Amino acid sequence: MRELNDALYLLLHDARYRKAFLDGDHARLGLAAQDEAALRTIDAEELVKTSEQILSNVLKGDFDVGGGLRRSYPAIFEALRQEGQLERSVMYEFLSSDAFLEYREIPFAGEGICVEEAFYLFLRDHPSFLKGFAANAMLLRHEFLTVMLSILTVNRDPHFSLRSTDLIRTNGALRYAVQTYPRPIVEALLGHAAAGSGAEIHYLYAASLRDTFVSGPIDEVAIALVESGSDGRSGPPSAQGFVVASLALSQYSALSAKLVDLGLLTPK
Amino acid sequence: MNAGALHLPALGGRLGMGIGVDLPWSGRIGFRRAAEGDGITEPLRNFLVANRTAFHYLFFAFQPKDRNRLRPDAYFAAYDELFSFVPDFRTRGFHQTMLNMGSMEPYERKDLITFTNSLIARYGFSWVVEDLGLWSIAGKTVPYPLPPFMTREGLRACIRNVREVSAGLDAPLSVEFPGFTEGTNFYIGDYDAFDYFREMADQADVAVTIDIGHIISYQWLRGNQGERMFIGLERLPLDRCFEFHLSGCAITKGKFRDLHHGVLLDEQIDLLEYLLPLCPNLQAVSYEDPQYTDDGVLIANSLRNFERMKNLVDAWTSSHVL
Repeated sequence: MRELNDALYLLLHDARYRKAFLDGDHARLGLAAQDEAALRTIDAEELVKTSEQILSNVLKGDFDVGGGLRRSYPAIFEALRQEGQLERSVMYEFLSSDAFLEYREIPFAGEGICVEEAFYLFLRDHPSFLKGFAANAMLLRHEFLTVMLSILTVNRDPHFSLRSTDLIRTNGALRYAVQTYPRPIVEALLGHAAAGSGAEIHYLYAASLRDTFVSGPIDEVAIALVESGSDGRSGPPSAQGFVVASLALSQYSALSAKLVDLGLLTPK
Repeated sequence: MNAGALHLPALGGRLGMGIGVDLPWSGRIGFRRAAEGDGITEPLRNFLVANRTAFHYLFFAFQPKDRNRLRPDAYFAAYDELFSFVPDFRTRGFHQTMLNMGSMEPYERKDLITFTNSLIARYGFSWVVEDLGLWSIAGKTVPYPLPPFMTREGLRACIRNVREVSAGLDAPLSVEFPGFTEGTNFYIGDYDAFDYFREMADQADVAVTIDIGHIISYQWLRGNQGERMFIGLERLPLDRCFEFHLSGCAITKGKFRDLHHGVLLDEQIDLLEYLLPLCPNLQAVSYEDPQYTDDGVLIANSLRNFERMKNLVDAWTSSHVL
């Protein structure tokens, strides 16, 4: 038998469960008789308005909570529209998902993730929503990393957990992520041509030590420095076996200085 | 029952009228983040300065500043500035919003109580108040706090939670009667709310705050409108009532709405007048979330019943013989 508290959660967040209740299909509610009787006092209009307000707050943000998923994932919502996905339909599915259940806005009801990561995990695990274009998976990762590292820039000691540690790493001083995208994707993100000539470009997202969000193309030497967390004054890093043997010392020092200036390395 | 036995704040008698304000970290009225140091918005500052002698105390409702773990020192700059503008308000209260005392799920309050006690120590809050209800479920807030589960099991959970909070706080706890029908609000269970609230207060041995609009909202639901709104009020824990709240309400499409828009209804003034002599341990009457211009002047359509409320409360305050 389901507990009354669980039933309330489902009434607010699960459109199918709510519909069963509103349709009087009480057998589907899974409640003991006395708890089913307790639900009879619910004002159906108020229940629907409350659940709609919850959806609206998650999608658009509200006065107190903040910006909303539409602002966090603008290109993804545009991609969903192009796929013919109704925004509300996607949100209804999201609010009833395991990923949303794992979300914790308030940290006192057990550990959980933030809503931005919950939405990323939901869409990642439901590829049918974004199946039209192969690039949509990359777009999802890009917007997730952009919003997450932005959040972590201003929330250095977050009350939520981070599940996507396969994507977001730490060198002990800052949190960052590196993705590799085809050149056309990077140039579309930048709005202009990217330096170099390689077919793929590494792209950095970082919550910098200067409390700024830093993102953009990055080369392998700089990645190695960021991963090591060192400004390299003691010599070139050899993180992950990558040894900067060929880089001239003057170039190396200039690179380190630039990374310190961006807040990507700790000055020593 | 006397005030000492009730664990009421030791305020030395009737305070008179105070203000209660919800202070979010965005918007026109509230706190503001700034690189040079957090503070309060200009309209709020102007209102406080303009009304230093019109009110006698202040409480404000807690809103988290960001998504970091709660650290009291992260709030000191803003709170210090708030109180710097009302140095004559020697009495201060704190309206929590995360105690979630109506919850029936596991909810770890220890860190939150420690955080609240740090603020009590720094600002000398004389009491902590929170509406009895469901402010969040599975760690996600609801748009407006729902009443607690109005069942026997729900009542047992409330008593348990209120006892935990009351025992842990370093200032007296006052539990506020919940709101009903606020626009995004419903309740589960048919336990009579007045009996429920009294049993909770007696079993948990705690002071209570009566929000006049919340009482009317419940009466409205039961069809007790007009003169019938006085029916059954004797079943409330009136002897435990330490504080009244009055916030702007409206009747919209036949439903009573607690809008916090500054405009009090005639019904609220009538009920205030009725209840004032019935609460022997009442010490404070709070005008919650007044609305005002950027210059700090109360909005015009709130003035009529604001003045009526003020006159009633001033007369009540001055009639008290120690």
